[in-house]
Amino acid sequence: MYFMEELIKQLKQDIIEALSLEDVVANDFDANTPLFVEGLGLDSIDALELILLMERKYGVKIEDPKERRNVLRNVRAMAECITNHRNINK
Amino acid sequence: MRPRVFVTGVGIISAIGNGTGETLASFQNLKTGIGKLSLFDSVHAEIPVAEVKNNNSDLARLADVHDGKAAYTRNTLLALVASKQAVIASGWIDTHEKHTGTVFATTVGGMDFNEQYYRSLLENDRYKDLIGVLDSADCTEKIAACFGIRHHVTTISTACSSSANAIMLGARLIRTNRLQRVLVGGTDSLTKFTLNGFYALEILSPTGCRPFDRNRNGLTIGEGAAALVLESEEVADPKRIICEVSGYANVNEAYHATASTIDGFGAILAMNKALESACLQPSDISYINAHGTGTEINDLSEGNAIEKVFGNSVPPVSSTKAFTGHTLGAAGAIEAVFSSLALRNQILLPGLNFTVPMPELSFRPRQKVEPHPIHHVMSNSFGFGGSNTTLIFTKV
Amino acid sequence: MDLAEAIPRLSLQKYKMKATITASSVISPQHTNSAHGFPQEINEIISDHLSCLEPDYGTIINPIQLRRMPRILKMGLASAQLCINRAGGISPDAIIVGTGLGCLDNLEKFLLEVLDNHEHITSVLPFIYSTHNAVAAQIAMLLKNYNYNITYCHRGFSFESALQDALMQIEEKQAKHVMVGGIDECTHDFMLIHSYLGYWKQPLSNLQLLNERSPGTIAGEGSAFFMLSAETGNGGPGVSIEGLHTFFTPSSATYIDTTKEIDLFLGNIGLDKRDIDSVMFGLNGNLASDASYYTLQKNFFSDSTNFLYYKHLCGEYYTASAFAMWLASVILTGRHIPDVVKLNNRPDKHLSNILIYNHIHNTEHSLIFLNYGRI
Repeated sequence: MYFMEELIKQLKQDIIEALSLEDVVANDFDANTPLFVEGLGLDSIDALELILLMERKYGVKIEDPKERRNVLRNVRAMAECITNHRNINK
Repeated sequence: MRPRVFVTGVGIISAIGNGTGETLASFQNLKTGIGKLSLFDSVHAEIPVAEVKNNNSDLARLADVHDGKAAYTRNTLLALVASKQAVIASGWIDTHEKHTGTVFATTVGGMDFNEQYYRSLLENDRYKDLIGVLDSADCTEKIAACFGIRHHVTTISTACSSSANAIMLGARLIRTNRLQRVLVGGTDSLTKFTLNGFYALEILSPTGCRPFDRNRNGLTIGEGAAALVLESEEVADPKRIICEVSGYANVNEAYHATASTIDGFGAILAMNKALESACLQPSDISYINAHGTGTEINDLSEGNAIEKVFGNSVPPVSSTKAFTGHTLGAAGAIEAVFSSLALRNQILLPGLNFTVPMPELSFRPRQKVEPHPIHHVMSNSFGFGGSNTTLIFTKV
Repeated sequence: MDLAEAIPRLSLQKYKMKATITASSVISPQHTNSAHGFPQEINEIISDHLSCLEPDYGTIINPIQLRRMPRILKMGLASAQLCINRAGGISPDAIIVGTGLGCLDNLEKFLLEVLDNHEHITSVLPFIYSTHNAVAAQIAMLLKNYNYNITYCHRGFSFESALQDALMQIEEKQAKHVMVGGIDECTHDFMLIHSYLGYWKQPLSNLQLLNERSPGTIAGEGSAFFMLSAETGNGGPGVSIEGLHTFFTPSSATYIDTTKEIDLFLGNIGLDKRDIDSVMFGLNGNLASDASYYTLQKNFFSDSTNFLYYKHLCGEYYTASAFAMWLASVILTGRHIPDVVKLNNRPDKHLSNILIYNHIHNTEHSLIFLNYGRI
């Protein structure tokens, strides 16, 4: 769990940086906040940036659109996907 | 009095040939210009592209460029090749016999040189002689210098609608009596920059584009250039007239930086405004040369828009991008030349790679060259940044 | 055939061209962000380039919309929004932008990632915002404006081409109100690369730009947006654009070339050079290219003309003539020529018009004529 929480913290930071959210994100943006549509209200360009982030920094390539929507729904889902990928590739 | 605007000469170089003869033969033989990347090394070498089959030395020879001192990017060479063809075809001998201007368009400018020399330029001045040719104005100024054009010299850059906008401006310069003749066109060479940009956007086809097909999987980047000589009816030699620029419209969808709306709001607006400017009804259009890039979004958006505008009487439609690829800033001009060929030869132009219809649309794109009465052709160019331009060309 | 022989055979058609400047907004290296005419305080900078004094963008545009944007987009959006506000919230019938270099910073960023990272792309945003038309497109999105939208990118003709199109829109009755802008940013890489061509002076005070007799100039940047309108106001006085002309001379213009073009242009708008009250020159401190302006001042225009200059305030960049047009309009409406822009010391005379003449590398030349009168 500790590793998961550390990963979530790092991911949040990565997302804020990649999407220039520094000035617009309130402190209550947490692991379960929806990223798209509601919550942060990110758009399709942000989605592309997050896909690149997952691939380039965390080595996880997600090509199926349904899977993407699922993984990118919040930070926790992204962290779980990364952790699963690491476990599979050990 | 607003004079009519005629096309009196065209020039073209693309993946399907140099000049209108080779281009038409490619259409007749259903021979695509899409193939393997050979211009430069890339980690994306497996992605099909549509290259002009001439290297830069060839292009310099075709463009009749002998100036040893100046530097010529591939982009500019393509523009010069097309421009010279158009000028010769129009019977243009002396620039000063008519008030003449030039409006050209490009998205990449001298990016081919940028890619080769930019890193070095950041470190030392070894390639400083190339600095002046890296931007978007170089192709236009080399054209203007070549033909001695002094007034109304400008360059447009609005992504995929760039050269359609250049044609529109050229026509308006004539209709407002500022010019009697304008050399208009567009050019874009294949670059690593655009290949990687579109790859990152995940809209490149891994197989070659399939416009309006249910299983379409993205666009194929192409390169090329086309030029048209537009003349006022007051000075045009009737023997040289190919067709008329009878309508045009430029609107902005104001929706998204790279995507269109599903219902094609911007496309509907552009097509309707163009029809209005030409004083035509949808039923007057004989053939639509669609933007038809082969992306999931564009073809759905444009297809929906066509059905909304044309209702039950959608004319024959095709996208020629399965032949030439998407030539970005040159697309508007290249497809304007195709439209003029359709009018001159009274033929419908084909698409390629269409097997399964889109369930959302009732029309099917044409797949071969067919003789057909053609009176008015509509040509669509819809670009990034919501830039939607539609042109209408008419038989004279 | 050279231009001198060609000119007599060119008789440019006379056509009516007029538009009123109903609002403007400028972000520049001077304190120009507020709407109140010429700034009280002049910004003196000691450098080889002048950088814009930027507003707090978050007070003009929603920060959520701004978040991903590169600097030039913020500059363009902010000046466009301020222009709209000052025009009473009019939604323009056309949005036309001129930019010599486009979104250069993002282009450089994406290019270097492609080259240095061996095409291993980590961010797609720089590519999306690298297109020249990004500013005009984002303005349309911000305003939900579905009308005519276009971007010109041709060096020293970028703003003039935009202005030409705007005037045509009004003349063709396609538009009653057109928003037209000129915008360029100066980047570190741009400065570096162009230093190899000897473009820049050693760092100096911008206010001494013309006093230092040496090659080179100082770089600048800025964003200037205008609302141009066909409809006249309530008959009160205002500034209108009544003439625009460009000419291209690939191997540099001679004095004869230039004076023939100016005569042609003035004749076309029914004027003679003696009718010009003030001439604003694009002097940039570069000895070689400035020579032609001084020759015109001495030999062509009347002795009683006011001569002005502006690039010491905004620096040299492809769309600096947009700054010049703003400056000329505030001089005319303020009925006063600030000392800091005077080239010759004459009392403010009849300020009824200003002719702006600018050239870039003696290759792209432009003339813009502004008139002050009943609009």
